[in-house]
Amino acid sequence: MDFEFSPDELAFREEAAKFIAKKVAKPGVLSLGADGTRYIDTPARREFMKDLADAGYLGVSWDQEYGGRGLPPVYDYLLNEELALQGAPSTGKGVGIIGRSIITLGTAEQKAYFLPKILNADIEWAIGYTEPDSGSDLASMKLRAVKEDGGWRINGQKRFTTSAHFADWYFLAARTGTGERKHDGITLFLLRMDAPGIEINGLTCIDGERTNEVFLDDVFVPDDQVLGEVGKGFYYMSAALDYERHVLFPWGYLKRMYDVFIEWARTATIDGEPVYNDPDTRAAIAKLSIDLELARLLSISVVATDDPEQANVGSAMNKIAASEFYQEQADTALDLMGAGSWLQRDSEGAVGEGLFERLYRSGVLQSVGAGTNEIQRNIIARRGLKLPNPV
Amino acid sequence: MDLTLSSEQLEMQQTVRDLFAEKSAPDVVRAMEEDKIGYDAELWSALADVGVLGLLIPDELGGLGFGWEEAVLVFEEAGRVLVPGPLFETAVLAASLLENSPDEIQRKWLPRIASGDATFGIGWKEPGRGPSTKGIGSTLAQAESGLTVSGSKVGVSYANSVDRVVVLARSEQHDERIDLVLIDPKADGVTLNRVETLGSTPQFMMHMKDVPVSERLSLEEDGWQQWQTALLRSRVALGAWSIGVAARALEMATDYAREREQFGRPIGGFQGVAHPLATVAKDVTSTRLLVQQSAWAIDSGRPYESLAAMVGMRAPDIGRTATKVGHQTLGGIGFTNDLDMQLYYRRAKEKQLQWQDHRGLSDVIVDTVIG
Repeated sequence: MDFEFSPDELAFREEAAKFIAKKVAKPGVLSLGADGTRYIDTPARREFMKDLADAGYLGVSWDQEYGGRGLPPVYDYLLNEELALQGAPSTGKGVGIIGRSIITLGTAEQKAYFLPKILNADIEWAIGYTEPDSGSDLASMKLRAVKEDGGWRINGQKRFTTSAHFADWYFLAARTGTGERKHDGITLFLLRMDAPGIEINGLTCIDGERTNEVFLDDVFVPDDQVLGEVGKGFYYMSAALDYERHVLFPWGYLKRMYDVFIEWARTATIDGEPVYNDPDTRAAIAKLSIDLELARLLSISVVATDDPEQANVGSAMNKIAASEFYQEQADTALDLMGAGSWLQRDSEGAVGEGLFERLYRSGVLQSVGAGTNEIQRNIIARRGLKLPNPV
Repeated sequence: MDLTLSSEQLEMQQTVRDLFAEKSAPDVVRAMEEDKIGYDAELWSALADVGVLGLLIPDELGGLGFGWEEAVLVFEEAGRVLVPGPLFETAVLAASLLENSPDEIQRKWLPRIASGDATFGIGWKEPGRGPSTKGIGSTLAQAESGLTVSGSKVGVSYANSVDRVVVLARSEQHDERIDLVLIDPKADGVTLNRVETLGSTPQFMMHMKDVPVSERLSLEEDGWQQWQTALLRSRVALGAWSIGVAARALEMATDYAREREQFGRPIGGFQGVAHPLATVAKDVTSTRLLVQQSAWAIDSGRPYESLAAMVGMRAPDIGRTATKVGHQTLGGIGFTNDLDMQLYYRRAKEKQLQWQDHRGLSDVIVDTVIG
């Protein structure tokens, strides 16, 4: 066994780390501390993505024929881990699930149009899966696309389309079939976010971030904007989500927030006593250190295996471990930090720059988004333990 | 990175699994609960034959000279079947302690451990005392005939059959210093009282009154440090044992959850039953990796202390949780002695308690992190 990355992999990470450190030093890139930079649209973030693109850091694991570096997936993993560790935006869904889906499913024209734009960080994407009545039961979606001459007419509503208010393109799943098994009648579309008939309504979240409802009223999409085969969308989405589950929960974020907590524990005093002498704080440090390490091991185990089934179950385990650590870290830090721990960033008397106050809020999403932790446990039970699909 | 086992390691795992299937089946484990010695001599010599007893002992002293990666494989298998006998105490903890002892003591005992001719017990914890140095109340004294030890040790496993017991004792002359000495539990001055335990394994309250010391393991260096180092490393193998217990409990529970029907469907098809099992599966997977990584760190000369302490704190807990969830899954029938879950439940908790030292392990982790 060998738990270390190869010298080449480590060298790549070190080079990326230096590059990222230089770029995140620019004002605005790190505006949110340990997390939350993923869904925010600011000029600084767009510029940072451009910097990544110019240096060839977008699509490092894409084939060279599509403009990537043709490196094994572990390089993308290491890059995103380093981005997360430094609190920078991740490479995102463009080079992630959307680009990958276009590479696998797209026509020659679609590839030629989208892939270079993705690699240049020229376009922003939004993903439309979830609906008001269709959350965990994704296959029950109702938003409908009806075939007409030369294309499709779409009507319905999506909810929790996080980047809709600044995206250029919409990666959308719609029901195209009638009557058959609910999993079999779904199709993927690529449409312009500013297509006539699309209306976006913002929803403000518990952590101050924005997500959206998207209403589609007689939106027309030409045939050449269907991705893959009509009716196979649910299976494409499931395969992409298996990937997304791992990428969306990088360990680096967890390490970053833990490091902030440890720095507090190393330096803070309460009533003149160093907090690291407090038995409760010591017990918490030990427990968090163990849980953090276990989350790291699950994270690397997904990258280390070439068995897709094992990677699948592993990424469900990773998602649970990462989200639960996130919540535990925020909760525990607030408990221990004493007077002012609950104050927001920039408030007088705020402890640890208000980071854990914010993470306590955003943590709620961790066990819900990208497949609830209940769905992850279903995946482990069904695919890992060969139990019947649990209800 | 390569998180897979080598072909030699897989072969070794299979050899040990086959051996245990033959010699440590559940009926054997159950029968041994009533046995005076508590394990079978035939099993012990088979363990010697396949090299398990000499796994961590260098070739030149009769062992296989393997590393901790192999040791954790063997101990996960041992945990899966609850193999009876002083395997951990002898082949891991005593062997590790002896490895840092004076040469002539190593040469005397290590080959005999490897060949199956010597077994060891461990006398650490004392009644009403804690796991730290403060908890060592047994004392050494210099008599005319030589060094003697007096005091009491709680829960010494297999003390009625082992050749030597490692005893932690305080030197009277330098009362800060903890020494590690060997005694023959059959020597004059030793009283062994069999105790009934949670895990129904052979354990003894060992009272020592001026018992002659046969060897002192700690000559120059501080015995407490020597003990801590060996115990911390050994916890990695102990952790593997807990993972084996947990993995087997999970298997028994999921097998049952697939077959047992209520409300017209297998109970494993209900989230209330399936989700705790999924959580255990996650914890077994991640903690097994932690155990393997710790073994790899020791073998490759990397810092392992904090990792081993993490194993020491978490792995026994996973054994305990998995068997608890296992019982909940089995429901009423699991409560009877007809099924094996109760064995795993009792043994997992007992092992956790026997070797527990939360404060000490937590200090190792915190000191590494805080610096």
